[in-house]
Order: sequence, then C-alpha cells, then structure tokens
Amino acid sequence: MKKSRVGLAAAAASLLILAACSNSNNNAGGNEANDNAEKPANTASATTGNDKAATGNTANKPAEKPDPFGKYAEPLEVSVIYDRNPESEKSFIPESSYESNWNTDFWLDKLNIKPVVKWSAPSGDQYNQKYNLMFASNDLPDIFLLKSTDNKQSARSMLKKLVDADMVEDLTDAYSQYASDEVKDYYNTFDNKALDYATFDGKMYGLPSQGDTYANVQILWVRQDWLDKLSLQAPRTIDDLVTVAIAFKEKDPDGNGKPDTIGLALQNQFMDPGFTDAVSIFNAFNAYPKSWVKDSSGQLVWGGIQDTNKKPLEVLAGMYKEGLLDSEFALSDGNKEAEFITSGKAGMQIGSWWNGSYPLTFNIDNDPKADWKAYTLSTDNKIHAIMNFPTDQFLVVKKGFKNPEAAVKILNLSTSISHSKFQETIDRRNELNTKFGTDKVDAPTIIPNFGIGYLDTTLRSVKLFEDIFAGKASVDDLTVGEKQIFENSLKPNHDNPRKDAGKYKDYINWMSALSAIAHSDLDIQWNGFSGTTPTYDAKMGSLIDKQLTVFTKIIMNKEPVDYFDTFVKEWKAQGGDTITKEVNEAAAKESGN
Amino acid sequence: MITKLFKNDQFHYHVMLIPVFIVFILFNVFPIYGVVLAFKHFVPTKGVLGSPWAGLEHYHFLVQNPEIWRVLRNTLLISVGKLVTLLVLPIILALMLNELRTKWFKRTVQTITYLPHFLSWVILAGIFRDIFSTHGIINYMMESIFHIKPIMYLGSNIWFRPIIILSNMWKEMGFSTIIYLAALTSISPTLYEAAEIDGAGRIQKIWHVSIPGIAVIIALLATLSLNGILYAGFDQIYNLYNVIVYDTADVIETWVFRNGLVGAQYEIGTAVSLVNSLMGLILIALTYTLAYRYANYRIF
Amino acid sequence: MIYSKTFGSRAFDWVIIVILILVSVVTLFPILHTVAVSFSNPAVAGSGTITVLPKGLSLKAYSHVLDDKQFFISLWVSLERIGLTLLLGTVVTYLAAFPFSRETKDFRMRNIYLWLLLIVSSFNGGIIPGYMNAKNLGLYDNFWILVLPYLFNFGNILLVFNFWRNLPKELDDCANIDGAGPWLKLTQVYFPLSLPVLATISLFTIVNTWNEYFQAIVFINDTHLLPLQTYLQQIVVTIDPMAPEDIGKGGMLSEVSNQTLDAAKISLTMLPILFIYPFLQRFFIHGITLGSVKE
Repeated sequence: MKKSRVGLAAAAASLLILAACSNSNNNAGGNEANDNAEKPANTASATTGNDKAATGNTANKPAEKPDPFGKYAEPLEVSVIYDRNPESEKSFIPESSYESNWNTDFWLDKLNIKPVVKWSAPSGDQYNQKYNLMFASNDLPDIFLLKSTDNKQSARSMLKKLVDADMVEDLTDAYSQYASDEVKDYYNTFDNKALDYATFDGKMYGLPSQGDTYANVQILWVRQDWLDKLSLQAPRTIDDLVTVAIAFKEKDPDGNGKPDTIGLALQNQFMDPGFTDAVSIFNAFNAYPKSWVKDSSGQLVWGGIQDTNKKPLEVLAGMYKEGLLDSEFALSDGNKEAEFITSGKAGMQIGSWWNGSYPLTFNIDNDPKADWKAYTLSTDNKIHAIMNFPTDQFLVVKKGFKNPEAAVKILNLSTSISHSKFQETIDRRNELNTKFGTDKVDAPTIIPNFGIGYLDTTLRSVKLFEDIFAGKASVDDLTVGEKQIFENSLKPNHDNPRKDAGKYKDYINWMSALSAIAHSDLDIQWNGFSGTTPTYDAKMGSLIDKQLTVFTKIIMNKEPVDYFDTFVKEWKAQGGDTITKEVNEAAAKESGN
Repeated sequence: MITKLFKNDQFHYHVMLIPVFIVFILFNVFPIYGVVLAFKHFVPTKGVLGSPWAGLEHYHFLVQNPEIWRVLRNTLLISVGKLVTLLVLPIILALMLNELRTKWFKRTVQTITYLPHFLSWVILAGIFRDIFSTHGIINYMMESIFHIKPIMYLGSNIWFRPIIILSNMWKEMGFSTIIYLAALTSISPTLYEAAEIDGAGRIQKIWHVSIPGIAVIIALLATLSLNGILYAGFDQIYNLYNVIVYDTADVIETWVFRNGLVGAQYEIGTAVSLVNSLMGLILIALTYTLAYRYANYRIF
Repeated sequence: MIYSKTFGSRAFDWVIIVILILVSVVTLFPILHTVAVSFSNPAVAGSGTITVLPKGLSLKAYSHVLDDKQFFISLWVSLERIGLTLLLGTVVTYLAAFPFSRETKDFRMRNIYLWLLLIVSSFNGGIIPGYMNAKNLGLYDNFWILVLPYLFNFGNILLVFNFWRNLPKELDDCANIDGAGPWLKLTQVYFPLSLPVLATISLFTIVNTWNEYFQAIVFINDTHLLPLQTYLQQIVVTIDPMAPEDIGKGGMLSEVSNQTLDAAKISLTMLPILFIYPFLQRFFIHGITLGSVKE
C-alpha cells in the first residue's frame, strides 16, 4: 500500500499546485462551515471555570497580572515545525534561515521566545505526509499551526480529532487572560464566531485564524482587447455572457481568419472555485451546488439538489450545444483547459482574483496585445456567493506543554506586527529595500503566515490603493505588507502599464479583479455544515460523484435538463435524505452546547 | 564438533541465509503487526496495538456501497489486462530483438523502448489527451483513411479500458523486456546449432529453443505478478479518467481516494492492502500447486 | 551462431526491423516531446503547441533545478545510496539464492524458509509501524534507512536462483566430483555464469533506487541526507499571491512553470539511465558461453 499511497498523494499535490491561495480551498464541498454560532461561550467560561490551562503558568507566579506582551524572564524554547515553500525561500536574504534570522532576534527581544525546529518539510504532499505521521505517532511539537492536510477534512475536523485523542491543551483561560485587545477586536468584527468554531463542549482548543474571505468571490475574466475589437459591452449578466461568448466564437476575435476560438474555457471540476470554473454562473441563479444552504424553514439542505441548479445547467447546456464550450471539457482538468487561454483560443473564463498570476499569465506573455479584465456576474445586480468559514487554521498547543499562554502571546505579537505596530519592523523593511531591493525578505519565525484580520482585508486595501491613486489618501496610511504590494507591483504599473510584464499580473489581480469585487453589492452566505456524520462519511463521496456525472451529462446534452429531477429523487433515496437529517441534527447539537 | 559442523552443507546454507534474515526480521517482521490496523479504530495516543477494535467495520464500509462491485470488476479487468499484455508483449519484443544481428540497432531499439518507464503519467496524460482528442492525430487518421467520425476516446466507456491497458503496455514493455533478454542470452548456442542441423527454420528455432529456454523465467514472473492483483495503477487512471467513464474506469484506489472515510485513511488503506496480499498469496500458492501437481514443475 | 541467408530469412529480418522501427518511433515521440518541453518557454509550452522541437528556447527550467547546491548534495546522496544498495544488496541476494537453488533433499529447510519469506514479505504493516520501527532502531534521520530495508528483495532472490535452474545439471556434478564445497561453488562455479542475471538485478536495483523518493519523505529531515528524487519532488513553482514573500513573483511563471520544470526533472532523471543501460548490456550480450561446459 505504501506505493499506492504515494500515488494518491502525488496526484493530489499536482492538482493543488498554483491553487495555493490559503483561503480558496473549498473543493471538498460541504465541509467547512458552521454558522449556527452561539453567543461567545468562551468569555463566559473564562470567568467561571478556571481549570488546568492556566494552572501550568499561574501556579508559578500567582501574583503577577497576565500581560499579553509579557516577556519571559528566561528564554522559552518552543519546538515548532515549518511548512516550507522552497520557492519563497529563494527570496530570503543571505544568511537568513528558519533557525536564525532577524525575526528570531526580534521575537527573542520582545517575548524571549526561542523557536526550536522539530522538522520542516516543503508545502503540499511532503508536509502533509510528515504531519499525518507525526500525529499518528503522537509526536507533536509544542506549538503548531493546524491546517487541513487533505481536501477531504477541514482543519476543524482535524482539531476535533486532536481533542478527542486528548493531544492538545485547552486554551480557554489562556486566551481570556492573555489575548490583546487588538486580537479581541478582530475576532469581534466577526461576532467571535471564529472562537466558537474552535470550541468543543465549551472549551476552546485552538486559536482560530480569521482570514480574508470575501476576496474569494468568483469572477469573470474577459479579454478586454477582444471586447474592444468587436465593439462589445462588458458582460454583467448571464445573458451578456452568452452574447459575448457567441461573438468570441463566431466573429474571429483573434483575427486569424480561422474559426478556432471558443466562448468560455471550462474544466471538468466546474463546480469548484479556482479557475476555468462555472461557479459564478451557478451563484448568479442562487445555486450553490456543493454547499449546505438554509431553506426557507431554516433547515440545512444540500445545494446540489435545489431547483435553482436547473437554470444554470440549462444555460451551460445551451452553450455546449452552440459550441461555445470546449466539446471535451469533461476530459480536461484545469491545467489542460488553460491551454485554450494560453494559446489565445479562449477569451473568457470564470475564476478567482489571483488568476492574473495563473492561468492568464502565459497568455499575457505570449501575446502583448492580450489584456484581461475582471467583471462580476449577476442576474439581479447583487453578487451572490457562498463561502467556507473564514477559519482554516488553528494555532494549537501540545498537551502537557508548560506555557500554553505562549501561543496567545505569539498571536498577539504577530497580529501587531502584521498591522505595523512596531517601528522596528518598518525600519527593517526600509533597510532591506535599500540593501537588497524590494523582493528580498527575512525568513519568518515561530509561526509563519498565521494571522487574523477582517473578512475583507484585501478589499479594504484595494479601496485604499484606489484612494491613493486618486490622491485621496497617502502612502503612509498603508501597512508594511500593503506598502510592499503597492510600491513593488501596483504603482509602477499604474504609472506605466505593462512595463514590467511580471508585475503587471499582480496589478490586474488587484486593480481589476479585487477592485471589481470591492465595488460590488455582495450577498455572502456561509456554508452551513462542517464536519461529518456516519452516513455522510459512508455515502457523501459517491453522491458527489453522482452529482458531477449527472451535471456533466446534462451540460453535454446527453441528458435533458429535466433529468435533474430524476437525479434529485435518486440522490435522496441513495442516502441523501439520511445525510440531510444527520447534518441537521449535528448542526443543532453544535449550536446547542 | 566444530569441524563436523563445517563439513555439513546444511550449516553453510544457513550461514548464507543469515544476512537476508537479519534484514527480513528488522524491516519485514518487526513492523508486521501493523496489519491489525485493518480491524482497528486508530487512536494515536494509544498506538496501533492499544487502539480499540473496529471489527469488520472498514470492510463493511467498502462492501456496503453498491458501486464497489463495479469498481472491483474494473480493477480486475484492468489489472488482469495489464498482467497479460505485460507478459506477452515483452516476450515478443525480446524474441524479435534476439533475432537481430546488427548490434547498434539492437542497442538503440532497446534503449529507446525502455525509456518510457521513466516518464510520469502526469506528463503522459497530457500527451495522450492530445493524441486521442476529437481533433487529435488518431481521429484525424481514422477519418481520413477509414472515414470514421471522430470518437471521444477518453470519454468513451468502450475505449477507455483498452486505452489504459495498451498505453500501460507501451510504457512498460521495453523495461520488462530486459529480463527476458538476459534469459535469452543464457541459452546455450549449441541448442540452436543442433536445431539448425535438424533443419529448423527461424520460427521453429524460436518456438523450440528460445521460448522453452526462457520458460522458467516466464513462469516465475507470471506467478509473481499476481501479487498486485488489486492495484490497477492509480497514477495512470487518475490522470486520464473523468466522470463520463467512471462506469468503466473507476478502480479501487481511485474510488477509495475520492470516497475514503475521512480520517480513516490508514485503516482503509491497510484493509485494502491486506485483501490484496491475501488474494495475491492465494493465487500464487494455487499456481504453484497446480504447476507442481499437473506439470510436475516447481515454479520456484 | 550460424545464420542461413535464405530469402525467407532475410524477409523475416526485414519484418522485424520494420516493426521495431515503428515501435521505436512511437516510443520516441513522447520522450522527445518531454525533452522539447523542458527546453521551451513556459508560455509556449502551456499553449499545447509543442511537438518534438523546443519552441522559444529557454534553459530556465534547468537553471532553476541546478542553480542550488542542494542539487549536488542530493545527487551525491543518491549515488552513495545506489552504490551501497547495489553492493550490499547483490551480496545478500546472491548468498541467499544459493541455498534456495538446492534441491529440497539437499537443503531440508528450503521450502519452509522460502514460503516464510514470501508470506511475510507479502504483508505490509504500513507506514505507522514502519516509522516507529525506524525510530526504535535509531535509523530515523539516518542515511542507512535509505539502504538497509532494500537489501532484501524476494523477487531478486527468486530470479537469481531460477536463472541457475537453466544451467546444465552437469555443472553441479562436476563441481561435486572436484570436491568443491558450497562456498567454492558459489564463488568459482556459479559466479562467472551469473553475470547476465546479476546485471539484470543490478539494473533493477539502480533504477529503483534512483527513482525511489518516498522513504526520505518519511524518515529524513536533514537536507544533507536527501536523495535527488526527493529533492526534485520538492521543486515546484508555487506562488501564494497573499504571502508577502511572493509578492512580485508573478513574473517568475514567465520563466519557468511546473510543466517545463516537470519535463526538465524527468529529462535529468533519464539522462544517467540512458548511459547505464548500454554499459550493462555488455553482460547480456557477451555474458554466457555455456557451450564451454563439458558435456
């Protein structure tokens, strides 16, 4: 089995490459959300229960008032693991490594916390393998970032496993005593739902990430140069989309005299967000085919069997019939389908804000005239979308680690750093800029890339950028991170578009895609269920297979749209009804404890 | 006493087996208790042996699903298809190469044909999708020569399995040939000379000298290949299949990959691997016994 | 070997040659394609228009792989690993094959041992006990975990002694008459005749060891002990548009993509293999002249 396991993992890894946006991992369908949030149970239990989490620390120095940024008297060694990205490591300044770098010194100075590297492994397959083994052999580091290591289980179900196995510390008291006001404020902007998400039976076992979520709304990317050439209006509705697709297919937009273009690039996994998908089309009709949604009575139902799916299927089937889609889309994964875009045979695709970096990048390289712009799609002027819960990582502490509050302090400090509260980090950035240029960074330390923020951080940033360009704001309003983006990629291309083709892709990511999202009227729902139930475990996989098969056949005109009704009946009979019942019970239980 | 021991061949045979048994005990025997995971709910803090028993739950998960029979059928059809093609074709290729006298040509062909073994299915899948696409070379030739309308080969339940089996044959054929070529060189030239004197032609020499000469190795490889009967080749199928052909393409590994119990991947993996080992062993023992009883031939 | 040069025989040759050329061409296409992609500009490669010649010639994929001293560290680890596995593995296999090549009446435990090895090695305890085991043996993060488990290969043992079964029985009888013991037979009588099969299992060992990458993922942390294939697996182009260190990297994809990188990795992997085979082939071709055995 060893061999085949490698196969599985390798294949999975090759799928995930480049879709590496931390928050865009919605593939597994109804796995990752819980909006049945209770009111902050953590604060209540913090004042009442005062159990073991705090004792480890407070027993030693009972009189001391907990200080969120308190520096340890003796250096506190914390074993950690690193999820390396060999590519990013190339931008580390010389002599800077995970073990020793400017950040390490900074943290030692601020908190006297010293990371000891237990192991590090490259992101993806190798990291996941190592993590799973470490878990299986009960050999955890002191403090680590828990994230999903396969697309079938959410970080939350992995946390549940750690809790059930009694492998992690209860952080309820540590959080209530040590969390900084800044951290509390961020969780508050989302009604502390993220904290509840980390809570099982009234105890909080991890510090949840709170990520940038709204930016993951799927949008339509269009070859603006083709639109202009054919004198077409920018598509805003589904009807527009079809009109433009017909023109792109029939009116020879590439001007080579051959009928070799298609309307819309579409891949086989078209219900999952990423690129070359059809998510925006489904959402525009209020269809959420791979999520749990609330029906009018407040019950959770599976989005894939709702009648709202019929309209988008009809639209797609019509497009297929007219030859506007790749006739073999069902055989093509995203990378294969992207060949249509790269070779200039497709002028539209639906996907994410970062698609400028992939897959549009090659088309921009190949064709200096190719110019991509992003638009949101709607049928009622509102942009509907369903999102996985904004927490996809937890900072957790190994059971038995003496200083669980160190995790909270780490969160406090990293939150402050990322929001530019320290002059040292700003000075350091300027120092690096003059010495090594804007591309070089210090290696990160302790817990890289973990942070909490608003659900719309990037959208706020992009509006700020626009204000700066319009002269309504100043560069000084930006955080270190924002400034990096602004000065490195956006400003040069604003002044002089496409001067640096590489950075131009960042520019359209931000100033076209994110800007389009930021200025639309968003209607965001949360995927209604994370976790699993017995029947869910046993049957959901094959029901999702079935759904994809049926939808694909309808789009390919192998079955009529009405076949959807037969599918719904079969879905319910083959375990779907039981799953729905169990999911509702589980959701009720989660919100009731 | 000691000199007596040294005179005994049995003693020397055991000495010769010491190294292999050391490695065997350290790396095969020690970790073998892991197979009980197939019947456990694994809890990391309790270890493999201390985890609670799950009985046949993991097998029940596999069997309760109506699709598993379709999946099992596909697995066996593809895996047997691969087994047979990878047994027959390399032999033919080896025999052809063995007939050649031009050394540089022989070497070149051998080297070329064994190189695809090193290509990955991720890359090959991209090439195959182009070749078999409705605008691809195969359809183009079929249309221009035989006037056959384009077929979506990789989206066809009729064509998918043959394509899987044949493309695998193409990829591994040259590599499997190596062993037969080595066996062919060990056939005594005197046998060919004798056949020649008896007036045998080229084909007869192949039939009466070459093939019997490598029969031992053929029988051995055929028997050993039964070991992987439940593994139809994940990487290849995963990279080439799609929803339209799940009916004929879905095999145990791909099915478990998509539907595997969340968080029970070790247990399910072990459960499948255990069945595979048992089936493989039974088949090997069966072949061995039949060959011994009816052909009076010991495979090993 | 004497060949009669009749017309039929010549025609037979030509048929074989034509078939083999066809097979080679069909096989060569994907290989050349892969090499061509590895030397191409990623934007062109991504458009799916490359056949067997590179377009938009670029060496960036290679410089990306080779531009790191880790490549050479790992290459050396791989070579050491291959060398040791080959040497020790051949000794272990060869020694074990001899007793198993005896008749049951000569070696009474033969069948029991043989089936014991077969049955136990058919079952796999899986990765968790394997990991614990390596830790207990002190082999975690240790070079020898890349070598030792591979020294026992049941298939290779079977192959070697089944090969000997083709040798004339007289060989053994002659040796017995000369009074040769097991060790003398092993080294003096069988060894010279075993070159083709030893070359075969050597080739398999080299190829398998060269391609194996999973063991190090599980058992090795120290990058100085990372074999080449494991290292190559790590090199992928991943850009996280949110990560500060990746800002401005958008342009990197214009130089190298996973597609061209994969092709370069495979081309680099094939290169040494390309040279080893013709070298070992000598043993297949000149290996045996059984005619010299007294009859």
